[in-house]
Amino acid sequence: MTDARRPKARLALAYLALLTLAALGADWIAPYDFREQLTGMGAQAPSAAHWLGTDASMRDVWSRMLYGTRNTLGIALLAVAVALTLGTAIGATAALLGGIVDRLLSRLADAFLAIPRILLLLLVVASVESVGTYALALLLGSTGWMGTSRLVRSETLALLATDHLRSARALGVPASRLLRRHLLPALVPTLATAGTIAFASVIPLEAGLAFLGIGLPIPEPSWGNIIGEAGGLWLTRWWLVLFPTLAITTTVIAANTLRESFQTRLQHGIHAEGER
Amino acid sequence: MRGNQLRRIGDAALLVALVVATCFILIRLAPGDPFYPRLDDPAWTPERAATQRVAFGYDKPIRIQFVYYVSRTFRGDLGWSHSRNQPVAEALASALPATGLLVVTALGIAFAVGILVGAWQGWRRDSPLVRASDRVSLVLLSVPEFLIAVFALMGPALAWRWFPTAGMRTPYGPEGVLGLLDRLHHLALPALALGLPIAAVVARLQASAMREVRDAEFVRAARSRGLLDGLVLRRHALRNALIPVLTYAGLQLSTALSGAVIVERLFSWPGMGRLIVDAVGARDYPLVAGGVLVAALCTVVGTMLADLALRWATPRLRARA
Repeated sequence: MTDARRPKARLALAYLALLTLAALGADWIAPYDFREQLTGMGAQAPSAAHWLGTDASMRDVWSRMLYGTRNTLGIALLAVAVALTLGTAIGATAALLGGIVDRLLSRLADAFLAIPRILLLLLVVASVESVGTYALALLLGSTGWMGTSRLVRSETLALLATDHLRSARALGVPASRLLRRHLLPALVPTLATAGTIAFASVIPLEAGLAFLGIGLPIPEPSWGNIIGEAGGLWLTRWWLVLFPTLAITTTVIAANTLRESFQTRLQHGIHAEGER
Repeated sequence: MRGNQLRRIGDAALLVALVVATCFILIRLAPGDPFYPRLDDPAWTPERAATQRVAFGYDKPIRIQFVYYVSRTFRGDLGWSHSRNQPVAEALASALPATGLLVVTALGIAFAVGILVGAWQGWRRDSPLVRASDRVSLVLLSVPEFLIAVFALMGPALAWRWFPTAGMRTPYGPEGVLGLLDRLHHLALPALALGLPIAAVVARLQASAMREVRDAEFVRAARSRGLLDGLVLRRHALRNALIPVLTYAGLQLSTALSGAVIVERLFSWPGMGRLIVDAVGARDYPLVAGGVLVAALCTVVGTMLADLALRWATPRLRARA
C-alpha cells in the first residue's frame, strides 16, 4: 500500500515545490507587473503576447497568476502554521490535563466546528474595511485549528498510555519537559497529517473569500480574486475561470495526495507499535 | 444509561452556550464599529450614531452587554437589520426554507451517491473502473464547491441552456405539477454543485470502511455459509461499514452550509447564504451575526440528530461511551 503510494506522494511534493519556486521567482518570471494596466481594450483571450489573456482592467493574467501564487501560498502556509500551533496547544492541554478542562476544550472545538467556517470569517471581516495579508492568514489559521486539536488530543492520549511515557510521568518528569522531549517529537507524523489537511482546506476557503471580494485588497492578486475578475461573464471570459481553477484544484489534489500518504504511514506506525 | 443521557444533554447545552458565547466574542473582538461613519448614508450624523449606540446598549460595560445579548437571543430577538429594514429574525426566517431545501437536497444527493459509490469501490477493491472512479472522487474532493458551481453555470446553464441560471422558480411560471417540475429544474444545478464534493468525501470514507469490513471475520463467516455476494454485502458488510460514515454526517451540515454561502450567491438562490453575503456588503452587522448564530445552531441540532440516529442504528454504541 505504502509503496504503491510513494511515487504519487513524491510527484505531489515535487509539484508543490515547483509552485513555491514560481511564487518565489515571480519577480523574474512574470513578464509584466501585476498592477500594470496595459493600453488596449478590456479583457482579451489568451494570445502570444499574453499567454493566459488579460483581465477587465487589461492586466496580464499570467503575471497575476504568478504573484497570486505567492499571495495564496504565503497566506495558506502562514494560516497552517497558526492552526497547527493553536491546535497543538489546545489538543495537548486537553489531553494532559484531562477532566473538566478536556471537556470544555473539546466542546469549544465542537462549537467552532458547528459554525460554518466561511460564516465565521464573514462575521469578522464584516466589520473591517479590508484585510491585509497577515490579518487574513491569522484569521484563516485561528478558525482552522479544530481538526489539529482533535488529532493531537487523541494521539497524545494514545502516547500517554504507552509504557515509556507512563514511566516518564511516574519518574516525575515535569509537564513542560514531557511535552518538549517526549510528546512533540512523537507528534510530528500527526502534525504532518494535520498540516496537509489544514492546507487542503485553507486554499479553497481563501479562494472563496477572494472570489466574494472579501480577501486581499484590490490590486493584490490571488487565485480566487482572478476568478472574481470575470465579473459573472463566465463564458465570454473563460480564461479568467479556467487557469485559476486549474491552479487551485491541482494544488489541493497534491495536498490531498500527500495527506493520504501521511495517513497510511501514520496508521502503519501505530499498527507496528501495537503488534510489538 | 440514564447518567450517560444526562451527560449528553449537558454536553449539548454546553455546546449551545459556547456557540452563543463565541458569536458574541467574535462580534465584540472584531475590529471596527457597527456605528462608524457611513459615506453612503446621508442621514448619518455623530449624534444619531450616539443615540443608536445607546439604543443598542453599546454604552454599557461588556458584562452587561453579554447578559443582554444572551437574554435577547434566547427570546428570539436578534436585533434590527438596517439594510432590510426589518427584524433580523424575520429576515432570516424568510430565507431559511430556501437554504434548508438546498442543503437537505445536496446532502441527500451526497450521501446517496457517496454511500453507493463508496460501497461499490470498497467491495470490488481493485479494478480499473474502481481506480478511475477513485481518481474522479479525488478531483471532486479537491475542487471548491463554488468552482463546481461556476462550471455548472458555464456549461449546462449558459452554453447549453439545459438549466436556468438563477432563482428558485420561473417568475410568473406554471403552478401545480408543472410548477413543481420547474422548481426541481431550478434546484438541480445548485444542489449538485453543493452535493458532489461532499459525495466524494463520503465515498472515500465509505470505501475505506468497506475495505476494512470486507476482511472482517463475520463477513468471511457469512460468505463461508454460502450466502450470495449481494446478500453479504447488503446485510452484513454495508450495515457495519455505514457507522463511520454516519458519524461524519452531522459535520457535513456545517460544510454544506459553508458551501451554500457562495453557491447561493452564484445561482441567486434566495437563501440565508446570499442574505448574509449581501449583509456583509451592506455592513449590516446584526444580520450577519444573527445569520451566523442560526447557521451554527442548525449545525448543532443536525449533529445531535445524526448522533441519535447513529445510536438508534447501532445498539453497540448505546451501551458504550
